[in-house]
Formats: sequence, structure tokens, C-alpha cells
Amino acid sequence: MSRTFILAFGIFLTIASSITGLVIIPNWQFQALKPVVKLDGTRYPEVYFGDQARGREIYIDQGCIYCHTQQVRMKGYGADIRRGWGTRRSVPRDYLMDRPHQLGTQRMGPDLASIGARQPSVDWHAIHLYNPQLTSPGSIMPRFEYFFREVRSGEAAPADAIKVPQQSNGVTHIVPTDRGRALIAYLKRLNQSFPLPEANQ
Amino acid sequence: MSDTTQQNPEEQQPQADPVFTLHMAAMREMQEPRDGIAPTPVSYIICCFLALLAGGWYMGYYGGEWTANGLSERPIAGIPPTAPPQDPMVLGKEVFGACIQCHQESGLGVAGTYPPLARSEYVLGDKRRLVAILLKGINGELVVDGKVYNSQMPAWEIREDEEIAAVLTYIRASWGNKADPVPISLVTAVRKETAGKGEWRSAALDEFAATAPAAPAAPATPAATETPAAAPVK
Amino acid sequence: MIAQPIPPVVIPEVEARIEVDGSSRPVIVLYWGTSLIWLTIASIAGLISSIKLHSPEFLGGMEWLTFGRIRAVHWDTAIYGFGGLAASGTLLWLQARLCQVRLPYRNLLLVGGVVFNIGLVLGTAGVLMGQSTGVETLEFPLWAMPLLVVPYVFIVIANFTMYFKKVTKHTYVSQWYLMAVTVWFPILVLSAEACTNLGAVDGVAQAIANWWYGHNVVGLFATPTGIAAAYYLIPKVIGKPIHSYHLSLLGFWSNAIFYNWAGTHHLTGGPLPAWTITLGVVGSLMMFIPVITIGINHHMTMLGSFHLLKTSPTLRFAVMGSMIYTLSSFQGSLEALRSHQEVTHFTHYTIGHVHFGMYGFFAPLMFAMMYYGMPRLMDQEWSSARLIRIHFWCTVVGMLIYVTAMCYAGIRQGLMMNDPSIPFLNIVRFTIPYLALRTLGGLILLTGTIAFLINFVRIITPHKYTWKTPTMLDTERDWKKLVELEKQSENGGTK
Repeated sequence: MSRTFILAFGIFLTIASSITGLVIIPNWQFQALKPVVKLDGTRYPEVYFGDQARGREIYIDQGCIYCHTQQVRMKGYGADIRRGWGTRRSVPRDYLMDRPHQLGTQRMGPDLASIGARQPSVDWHAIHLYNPQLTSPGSIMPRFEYFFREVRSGEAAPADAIKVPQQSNGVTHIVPTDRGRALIAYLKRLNQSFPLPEANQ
Repeated sequence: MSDTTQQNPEEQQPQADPVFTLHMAAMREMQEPRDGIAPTPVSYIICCFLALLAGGWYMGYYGGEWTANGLSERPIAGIPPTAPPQDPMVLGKEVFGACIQCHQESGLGVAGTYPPLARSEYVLGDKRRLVAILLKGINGELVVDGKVYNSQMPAWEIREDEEIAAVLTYIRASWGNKADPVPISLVTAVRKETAGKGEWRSAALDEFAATAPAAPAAPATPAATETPAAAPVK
Repeated sequence: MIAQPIPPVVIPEVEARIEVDGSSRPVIVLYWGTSLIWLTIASIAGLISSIKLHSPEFLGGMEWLTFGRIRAVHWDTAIYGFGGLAASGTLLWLQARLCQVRLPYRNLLLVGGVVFNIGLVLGTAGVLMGQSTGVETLEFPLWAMPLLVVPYVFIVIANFTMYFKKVTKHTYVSQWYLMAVTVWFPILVLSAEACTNLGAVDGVAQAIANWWYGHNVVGLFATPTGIAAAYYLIPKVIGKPIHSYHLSLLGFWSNAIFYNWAGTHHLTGGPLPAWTITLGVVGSLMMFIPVITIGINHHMTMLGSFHLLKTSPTLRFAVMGSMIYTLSSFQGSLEALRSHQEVTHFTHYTIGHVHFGMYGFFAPLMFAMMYYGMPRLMDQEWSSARLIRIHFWCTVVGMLIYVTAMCYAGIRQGLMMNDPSIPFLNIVRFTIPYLALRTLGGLILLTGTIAFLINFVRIITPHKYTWKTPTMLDTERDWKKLVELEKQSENGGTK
């Protein structure tokens, strides 16, 4: 065998072994995981559909992942659970429907794995997305005002308008656009509070 | 660039360019690099092998179960001892972290949207009603301190009784509020009483508060020595 | 080889070198030149995202410039634009020189370079328009990827052709690394794209594939190219052989074996089976072996030649790069530990570490490569020693400010996040001064990059008059002086 062959083959072998060990074998192990059927007949986790699926695409294209994780670490490792970000650790089964995954590795903002359980109010999400300073003074989150139609004082507010706590530039109400509504639907759906047996470790 | 000696910096006139003056830089270069043959000390090789051994041991020791759901690197030995009860003010402040997004750290809420906790009659008043709000959440119009608020508060029944009692004790004794602590037994009792109910509406809540607590049921526990659930606040 | 009168007998190596450099000129200049433009774009994108973090109103209201998009653009242009092009240029130039063969398929490679740049522009535009795939480091929309992959295939083919046609008998250590890069990188990109954006796996397995790739694009692409450059430049400039062939061998193979496995430490504490994370931790810890080995090898080679750092810009960048390779790898190995991750995971510490590695190790080695290569390719000297000094000190100072601020803030941030009694917004407020400090560091880095760019533009444009000796760091050479001399010589010529 020539040295060149050893070099090329060795190089190939290193990467082939790691993709086998780190991607193929875990993926094969995960095949055994299936959604669980709840007592009321619904499944957990459920596929994303309608507004939730569209909202997920918006979450991805706005790059929320660079500041927000969607994973809760186990009790005693970090303070995720004590901060109320979740009631249990996240497990592989929670992510069966996630494609692409949005686990995230940065927490410039809080974890969102269970934001839907922590904060089910549509109004809160709308106001927070419209201007984070209104609900979280000092936040460094960007404003997503382009997801909302502004209603100024003097204009008639539609029935689904959301009142803004502090008026600025005469904006009294905001109405989420389709995209805003979808994003909020996705955020509300994020909920890992269903107790899975494997989470007790 | 590669010159090892210092050159006299300033310059000569440009001159005619035979091919090699054109390639000044290539000319003055050192030879292409070669390999030296200094031997590797045996002790260094041994160190590398020891490192490999350590890595193998680490792999085996922290490998967990080698299954898709083997999420802990070490099997938990037995049931962890139950933690001693915490000071409710400390625990309460910690739990309150989840409430800040609406009610704010100052306890003042957001004007027109989220009601304040400081000097709120709902916080300082009937403890049973307060526990019920926290457990089930509340939706719709609510009058606090003479102002109308309209929003939605999530149900927190997923949190432990101890945590709920602690956070209520905390909000009843912060930002100038001075009210007595909420006992854990009360939370347990109200949780039983409200089981199966959905989120409150203002009217339903008033009705619930007006009914006498299922007196014989809850205080039957030894916790009866604590402040009775419906004790009036001064 | 001091600037003595030209030796009468031309040794074959020099002849071959001149021919090889002549053949590779247009390709390498295209790759290196555009890589610097992408570095500038990446720095500006990074600066915008950095400013947005301490003043969120900055450039607010424009959807295409929202933080989540410009942040993705920053990393992708840095790794593929600057990293990809600079490393490919380095790869082709070094391989041609070390094999002593003319660069093959020059036209193909030129077209490839242009297509690669078009791919980068389209990918960046796609991300800014909201077509990001949402998979970190693979954000470019799928339709832009062929434009990046196909040109790289040309590079791989050219590299193998040179290797199999090589005139030299010996295979130098740099060549091992270069061969490895061309095998690893296409496999990496294709399998990672298949696993993530093409959906071969999903859920948590996809997260593992994502970080297997995210870590390896640094570890199996940037790092080997950087090490190859260091292995070439250090002995070349000081004129001594590399310390030990055996250590080179040990360093190469241990690096190849262990670096692959380190990726999962990016998901420590996440919903992964414990064994996958443990594999990542062990892989990272085992990296001590190659890092120490390569460190010893470089250090022992440099021993006795440190005084040359005063004059040679190439050597200064190269030694800075290989020293920080050791330091940042140590930092990375320790960072992988679970107890360390409990604090620093999810914080700015990671960002500090990435920049320590990329801007302290990889980028300086690429700069060193260009400082060494451009005068040879262009037959001109660097016009200004002052600009080189500005570039060097801006790189060092900017990088140190950046990394120190981020790592310190990251540790404090992590400790505060693990104390649930501290409200989250207080932690955010705590980090803001450090985020501002990072903007300052980034600004200094950008200044250095622009200084280099000016020097680079000057060296690729033809001039009648050029310095006749290499531009060393301790000379007072300046642009203006060169222009004056040029005028004088013109006047002198006409008189």
C-alpha cells in the first residue's frame, strides 16, 4: 500500500467514523421514539399545521434562534427549571416534529421551550413583539413592528385590535398582520409541560 | 518579507529587468521547508497513552445508558433526599421571576394592561381568592384599585404547592405590602376545591370568594393551627 | 538568502518556484482579494449586529436588517466568504509550490472563483430576504449551495491533480493537512446538507448533525488550513527545518481522529442521549494531544529565532496564529467539560471563544500567507510598512478587547443565570457595557482590515516604481514616500 493511499483512506475513515457515531447511530436509536397518545386521544407532540407551521417559518427567517433556545436542562444542572422556563427537562421525544430543529445555543433572551405555557396571552405576545420595551423595559430584543398594523388615535380600532399600554406617535392600538398572528400562534404552541416518563432522570 | 537580515531601507533607481530581478522576492526566499528528525521523547508518548486511557475511562464512566433516552450521564443513585423547606421569601422571589414579564419587578404591572400587585385588593385581601386566581388563571375584565384591566393570566397549577404559597407570601410582603403569609396547606386545600375548574372570569371569581370555604374539609388537617383560610386581613 | 547580488547559477527549485508562482498568479490573487472583501463585509455585518445588541433601536424597523438576519450573514460571510476563499487560495498556492507543478485548470478555477463569489452574494441576499434555512452555519438557502459546492469540487480536483503529478519526492506535512481538507470539506458540507436541509434526519438527530458540522467546519476546514500555513511559513521564513517529523505525524493523526467527535459539546445539557455528549467531551479533551504536539513542534522550530518577529510581518502573524492556536484550543477543550458548560453554555463566552480561534488563530495565519505570498505573486513589495503595523496592532488589540470582554461577561452572565433569584432582565442590563466594549473591539478589527485592504489594492495594481527590498516592519515606509519617490524618478528619468 502506498503512503498516499494510507493518507487518503485514513482521512476518509476519520470523518466516516464520526458521522456514523454521532449522526447515524443516534438517528437509528431515535427511530424507536413515537409520539404518545394522550388520554383525550390527541397526540404529543403533534405536527405543526396551519398558522403554527407558518409561524415556525417566520421564527426561522427572523433568526430568533440566535438569542433564544428551545431546550430546558435537567434539574440541578443550571437553573432552567427553577427559573420557570419549564417544569421538566426536555427530551428527544419533544422534538419529533421539528424540522429544521431550533434548539439554539445562545440565551441572550430567555428559553422558549415552554413559552406557550408560561405566557398564553395573545395580547402579551403582540405587545411584546411590537415593542419589547413596553413589557420588558431594558430588553435588547429588536422591535418587530412590521408584524402589526398601527391604529392611531382618531382612527376607529377594529374589533381584534390590541390596546397599547403607552401611546407613542399617537398609536393607540395594534392589529397583528397574518404573519404576526402566525408567529404568535407558533409561540403559543411551544409547550413542553406534558409529562413524559423519560424526563424523570 | 522572508529576509532575516535588516535591509537598508531606501531605494535605488528602477533598473532594467532581466527575468530574475523581476522575481526578486522568489529569489531571496529560503529553501522550501524540510522536516527535522528530532526524536519524540518516550515520556511524551507515554503521556499521550495515559491521556487516551483517561479518555476511555471518562467515556465509560459518563457514558450513561447508551440508549436514545439515556439522558443522564450518571444513573441517579436512589431517590434524592427531599430538600428542607425553604424560606418562603427567598423561594418566592425566585418563583416571582416568572411573573415579571407582566407584573414587572416593581410589582406595578403595566398601566392599562397588567394590573399592579402593590397595594392591590386582590393581593392583600382574601387569601383563598388569591390562591384560586393563581392556580387557575383569570381572563377578561378585572377592576383593580378602581381601574379596569382586560387581559389573560395563565394558570400556574403546574407549580408545586410550596412554590405557590411562597410566591404569594412574597408578593403580600413586598413593595410596601404588609400582609400575613400564605400557608402551604391553604394552597393544597384550594387546589382540591377548584379541581376541574377552568380559568376564572371576574364574576365567577366573586361568586367563589363569596361562598364559604368548604370549612370542614380543609381544616380537618393538622394545619388547622395555622391562620384559618378566610381570616380577615386587618 | 539575503538580498545579495543574484546568484549566477539558478538552482532548479527557484526556477520551478518562479514558474509555479507565475502560473498561479491570477487564481490566487482572485481568491485572496475577494476573501478580503468578504472579510470587510463580514466585519461590517458583525459590527451592525453588535451595535444592535446594546442599542436595539439602531437601524430598527427594517426587516431585512433585523438582528437575526444580519447575525447569520456575519457568520456565513466570515466562514465561507473570508474563510472559504482565503483557505482555498492558500491551499492552491501552497500545494502548487510544494508539489512544484504548475497550477492546473487555471481557467476553470478562475470561473470557479467567480461563481463562488456569486453564490456568496446570492446566499447572503437570500438570508437577508428571509430565506434562511434556520440551521446554524448552513443558513444559505438551498438554491445557493450548488454555486458554492461546484467551484469547490474544481478546487478538490485541482488539488488532487497537483498531488499526483508532483515533482518532489517527499510529501511535506503541510500537504497532509491540505489533502485532508479537500477530502473532509466536501464530505462535511454534503452530508450536513443532506442531514439538515434535505431532511434525511430530523428533531434531535438533526441538531447533532448541525453541530457536528458547525464544529467541524472550524475544526476540519479552517484549522487544518491554518496549521498547514503555519507549518509552511515558520520554517520557510526562518530557514530552519521543522523540529520533528515524528511530532508532525503524531499531531496530524491525533488531530484527524479526535477533532471529528467534538461537535456535540455544543449541545451539552440538551435533550441528547448522554453518550453522544460524552463522546463530544472526550473528543474535545483528547484534543490536548494534537494541540500540545503541534505547539511543541512549532515552538521548538521557532526557538532561537524569536528576534525575527521584530522585522518580518509574515512571521509575526504566523507566530501569533500558532500561539493562539494552542491557547484557544486549551480554552475550547476545557470549555467542553460539563461542569464548565453548566456556567458558560448559552452565554457570550462561546462567542468570545469562537472569535479567539477564528480571529486569533485562523485569520492571522491567512494574513501571514498573503503577506508572504503576494510579493512573490505580484513581483512587487508591500507599499507601506506603516499599514502593516496598523493591521497587526489593530488585529491584536481589537481581538484582545473583544475576547476579554466577551469571556468575562460570559462567565458572569452564566453565574447570574444559574442564580434564579436574579431577574433575567438584570442580567441583560449587566452585559450591556461589555457588549458596547465588543463593538469597540470590532471597530478596531475593522480598521485593521481596511488598512490591509488598502495595502492589498496597492500591491495588485501595477506601478512603475516599487521598493527594491522587502518591506519589513521596522522600516519607515509609507505610501506617500513611495509616491514621492515615484515622481522623483519620473522627473529624473525625463531630465
